Parts: sequence; structure tokens; C-alpha cells
Amino acid sequence: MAGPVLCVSGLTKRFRRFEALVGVNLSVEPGTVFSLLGQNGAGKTTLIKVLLGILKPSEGTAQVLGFPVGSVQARRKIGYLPEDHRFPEYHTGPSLLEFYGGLQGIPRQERRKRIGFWLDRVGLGGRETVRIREYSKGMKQRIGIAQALIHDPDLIFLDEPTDGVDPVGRREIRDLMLDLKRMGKTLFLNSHLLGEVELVSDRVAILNKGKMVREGSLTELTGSRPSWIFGFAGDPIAFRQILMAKGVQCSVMEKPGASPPHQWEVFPESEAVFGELVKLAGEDPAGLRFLQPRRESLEDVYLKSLGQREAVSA
Amino acid sequence: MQFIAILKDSIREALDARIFWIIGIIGGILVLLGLTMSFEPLPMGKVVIGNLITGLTGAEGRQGPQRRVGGRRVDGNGLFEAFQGIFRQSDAKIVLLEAKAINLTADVVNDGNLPTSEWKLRLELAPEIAKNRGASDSESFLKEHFGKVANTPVVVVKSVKLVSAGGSTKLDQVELEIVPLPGFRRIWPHKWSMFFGGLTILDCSKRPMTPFDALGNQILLLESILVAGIGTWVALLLSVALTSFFIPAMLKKGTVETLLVRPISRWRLLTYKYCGGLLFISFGTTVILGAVWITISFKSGVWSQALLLMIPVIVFYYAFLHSISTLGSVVTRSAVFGLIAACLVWFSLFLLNVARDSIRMMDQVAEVAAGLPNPQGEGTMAQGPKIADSTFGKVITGVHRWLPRPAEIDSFVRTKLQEDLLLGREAEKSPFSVEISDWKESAGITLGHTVLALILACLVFSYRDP
Repeated sequence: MAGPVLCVSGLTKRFRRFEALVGVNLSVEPGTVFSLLGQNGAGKTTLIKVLLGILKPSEGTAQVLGFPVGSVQARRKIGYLPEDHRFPEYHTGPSLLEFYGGLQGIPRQERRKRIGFWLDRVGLGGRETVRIREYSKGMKQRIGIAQALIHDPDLIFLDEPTDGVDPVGRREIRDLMLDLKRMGKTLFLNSHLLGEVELVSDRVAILNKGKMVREGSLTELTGSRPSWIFGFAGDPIAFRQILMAKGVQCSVMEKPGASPPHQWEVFPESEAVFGELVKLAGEDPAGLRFLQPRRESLEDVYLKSLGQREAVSA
Repeated sequence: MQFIAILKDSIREALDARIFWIIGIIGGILVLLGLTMSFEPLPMGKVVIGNLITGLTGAEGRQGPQRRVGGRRVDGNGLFEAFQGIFRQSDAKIVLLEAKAINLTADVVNDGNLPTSEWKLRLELAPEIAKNRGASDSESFLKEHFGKVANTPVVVVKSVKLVSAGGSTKLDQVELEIVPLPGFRRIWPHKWSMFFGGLTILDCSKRPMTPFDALGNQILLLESILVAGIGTWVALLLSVALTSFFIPAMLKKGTVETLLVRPISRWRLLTYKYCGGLLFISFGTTVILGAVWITISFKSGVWSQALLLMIPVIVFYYAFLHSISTLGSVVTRSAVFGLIAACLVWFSLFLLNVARDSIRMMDQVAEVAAGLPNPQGEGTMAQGPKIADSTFGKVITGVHRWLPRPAEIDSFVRTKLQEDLLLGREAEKSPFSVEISDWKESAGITLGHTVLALILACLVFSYRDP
């Protein structure tokens, strides 16, 4: 598909007087992993539900895979793992996939093949006779991922896919997401685990109180100009005077009990300035112990976007 | 494919909820109860043949020993009892001189007085009886008319032989042999008992015979009151209760989302789920009612297909109540409310029917009373205004007309049972006879309400955010 798989313009969703989404604009390119971040109640799940056609938008337009949201054509190519899913507990893994595969219209022979494949792929192979009521949280999450993928969708919405999954399982799910990306699938991820989002996402959007406050690639969001941390054994008086004289932006990071105790975060304006500062720091009698690049983390960006960085620091 | 997927899902849900177990247990208990039941023919051939002669003369009167003017044992072994009787119609009379079971087969040789036996009868009858009925002689009259109950033959007249012609002053003496047809069994008095004879329900061997003692009436009583009456409503309530959680379970948060993202429209999803419940109850009803029907028929020897009409009737009313339950569940997402809604609608319809019938009955009583002499003066009682013409009466009648009327289709089935189990016009005289209005209109209105409730449920489900 040439154009964006997801195109949202001015999307608003109201529940009576409460505005869950306010004029959201969004575009997702095919074959990418797009992640949505936001606090609880920010409107992430509402946005996903609108894009899936489960909820009807109050205003605005949205197209999924070139079709209007909620259309049967769009739903044929969409996979979805809800956040708080409750699959019918009388099913076993295979019978649940058989049911959803039947609803997707997959021919019987093909369905059988895919059920075996996906059960193995999500780590539920060999547990075909266990009913879902006997599943652990992690197993439920795994079967949830399998049901979202059974019909080989082009666009997959995963709402908290690693919720309740142990670290090994998380790694497996992350690998699966990367595999899907390599296969050219588009993933729309909704997760609270920022580290995980950072590892798999191409683009990230941050929702706050129904409004899209940031959206961009990871590099765009975390900043292209990294800072550097200079660690000294003693107080680098000479180095500080040079920084002030040259007008280089810097901040002290001294922490009691830290080793080395004197750390400075420096924002050099250019490579030349950085080279000069490294040379001067090495000559400082306080003794340079380490030099470490520092990029703004997604968590920083996230908290900053929500206007909470200061509050957290305080 | 999508329908099959939803149907299979409903079956799994039902299996998990042990619904099939419940159906199996109920069916099993009913079949076991039925198997302990017995219908034993009583040695009352004299009464039955007397009834046939009554039918021949068209004489009105009570059945039983009152018509018998004399009786004697004619069989030396005392295996059966024949009797002599005189039956009158105006001035004419028929005298039964002898009745004897013949051609006894090995299984009935010890008791020939059974509805399966062939009989040899000797009659005397006034020649004018035949002439009055348009027959040339007594021989052809008997051949044509003997052994019919309400115009339905219950025996075949195998041979008729004029022993002596009476002429204008004496009676014709005739011998005839009769072979029973299946209907003969239905008019034969039987002893009906349960628990292998431990509990006698009906037995006229020591009292005068009543209409309930004939096998046809006994089965009608059993099928009409116990199966089609009480059984139907219990089955309906149970079916609605058992399936009331199907749709709310589908609408649960976390479950419904995984269904709504599939390439199937919401109205189709709901309708398929509704149809799943319907098919499932159809299966259960067919199994239970089929088993009960086979048991009753096997034990009584009377295979009346009319009872099987109850299967579509129960499914039809279940469809209506299930549509109400579905609408209630979609609006409130609560299985309990859906069930309560169905029960409330059902009870309201019952009350409405009672109100309508009461108005009719009171008006009829008032009409009859209006023709009676006035105890406080001369002339007859004056008729007051009819309740049906009052505003209250009009409202009740009008609402009743446009709402489902379960009682009427129930009456339709009972009538079919009567037609099947009783013979010809006997059905009309049955104590079970009820007034039947236009059952097609009633069925049409019920179907209309079912479709309407389902459409409303689909609209709510389609246009409301889950």
C-alpha cells in the first residue's frame, strides 16, 4: 500500500459532555511500529476503539487501509488485542482461534494450519486441551495475540500486549512484534512500558486529556543534540570557569554518595566546542574520571509533554 | 461460515453450562416416568358394543349399565361376558341377542374381551330402521352403518347374514362378524395407572364408565393437560432461563470488542446469536418431546402425531420470549433483566387474556340472565350495557387483539390433539373443547412482535457504543 495505512483528521469523541478525544490528527505509514503513550484516561483506548469502528466518532474523519473506519473491508485486514480482554472461558486455545477464524471467513483447511502455527508461535503449543478458564494471565495474553493475528492482518492494534507477561514472555512478544514489522505489517501499539516502546517503535505519539501533544520519530522526540556528562574526582574549578567564560550551557549533577561526586551535564554547541572542552577537562587538576554521552530518554520526553517533569524532579 | 462459527460457539457455551445435561436429565426423568405408565384394556366389550349400537340408532342417553336390560354368561369357560340389550329409537328397536369374541389368536385366547378381538354379534332389529335411514334392508343397513362412531369407522363389518326376515310385524334377525380397526382401541375403556400399577389414575371397572375412561380421552387428558399445558409452559420458562445469558455474555466488555472488529455487521452478529439459541432450543424440545411422544405412544399403542405439533409451537413461543429477552439484554447488558423482561411480558399477556375472557364471560352471563323471568315483577330481566362496549372493555379487547396471544395457539394444538385422539364429532363434545379464534392471525401477530423486538435489539446494538 502506497499511502498511509492510518489517516486521522480532526477526530473528536464525546461521551455526553465529556470530551475523550479532541481534534486528533494522525498518520501512520505502512510497515512501521506506531506507539501511543498517555496517562490512564488520556484517551488512548478510546482512540483505538474509534479507529477499529467499535466506537463512532463525534467529529472528524478517519481512514484505515484506505477504507472508512468501521467498514467491513477495513475490518477484514485489522487485528486487535484489547487491553482487558475476556475471551469466552469455555473455549480451548484452538477452539477460540477456530471461532475467530470462522468469523474472519478463513477457509477450514487454512484455518487448521494457521491455528497450529500461531499456537506454536505464541508459545501455547502442546496446551491445546487446556480451557481458557485455566489459563494464567500470560497465557491469556498470548492467546489474545494469536487471535489478533490468525487472519494475517495488515494493521495490528495491540493494547498493552505485554500486560501480565513475565520477562521472558515479554522478550518473546517483543521479538514477535519485530518479526511482524519485518514482514511488512503495521503495528499500532499502546503501552505503558516506555522502555519497551522505545525498543520497538518507529514513531510515537503522546496523548494528554484527549489531545495529541507530541508526535514524531524517536529521534525527533528525544532530540538530535545530545548532552555529555563530565565526571570529576574533585571540584573542577578551572573547568567551570571555562564553561562560564565560553557561555556553554551546563548543569551540575552532583549527588551525595555518587562516584565520582562531581558530575556536570554539558550541552556543547558544536563538535569543535566539544573537542576543546574534552581537552580542557583532561587538563583540570580535579581529575576527569569519565565522559558519557546523554540523550533525552522517552520517559523524559513523555513526562515533559505531560508537564510533569518538574513535579517528578521536585 | 460466520453463522456456523457462531452456532458452534453457542453449542460450546451450552455444553459448558451443562444445558445438554439438563435437557438429558429432564428428558430421561419424563421417559422413565412414562415407562412406568400402563394402559390396560378393561373387559368391557359389552359397553363398547352397546355404544356402537347407540351410534347406529342415533339414540341419546347415558352410557353404561342403564341401557342394559339383561345379561348372562354365554361362554362356558367364563372367559368373557356377552349380554343382551335393547336399544330404542322412537318406536323402533334393536335387540342385541349375543356378542362373542371369535377367531381368538394365541395371545388373546385367555381373554377374548379385548379391543383387538373379532366379534360375532346376533341382533334383532326392526326393518323400519333400515328404511328410515334410506337403506333397502337391514343387511345392507348394517353393512353400511354399523361400527361407526361419529361417522368414523372403528370396526369393519366382515360379514352380515340375515338369519330370518321379520316382515312387517316381526324383527329381522341378523348375524354379523366385525373386525376391529385401530380406532376401536381408542373408544375402549382402559385402566390407566402409573409406577407399574402402583398408582391408579383412572379405572372404571367398579363404577359407571365416563368419557375419560376411553383410551383416546385418557391420552388426550395426558397430552393436553400435562404435556401441552403444564409441560409446555415449564419447558418455555426453562428454555428462556437457560439461554438468557447467551447474549449478555457476548456483550461483556472485553468480549464484545473482539467480535465487533470482525468483518460481520452488528445486526448479523446479534441475529446469528439469537438464531443459535433458537436452534439449540429447537433441538432440545424435539429431543424431549420426541422422547415423551414415543414413550406415551409405545405404552398406549396409540401413535397420535398431533402432539408433535407442540414442537414448532414451543419453538415459536420461545422465539417470541427470546426476542424480548434479547432486547432486554441488549438495552441493559444484564441476563437477569433480560429474563425478567421476558417473564413480565409473558405474565402481562396472561393477565390480558384473563381480563378479555372475563369480560366475554360476564357479558354472556348477563345475556343469558336477561332472558330469565324477573323475580321482582312481571316480564323478563332487562339486559344492562355490555362490558365489552365500555371504554375499559374496548381498551382490553383492542390491546388484546394487537398483542401476542399464546393461549390461542395453545388452543389450536389442543384442538388438533382432540381431532387426532377422539373420533369425528366426538371431538366437538369433548370436555376439552375450547373456543378457537383465528390462530393464523394470532400466530401472525406473535411473529410480528418477535420480529419487531429483534429489529429494535439490532438497532440498539448497531447504533449504540458498546
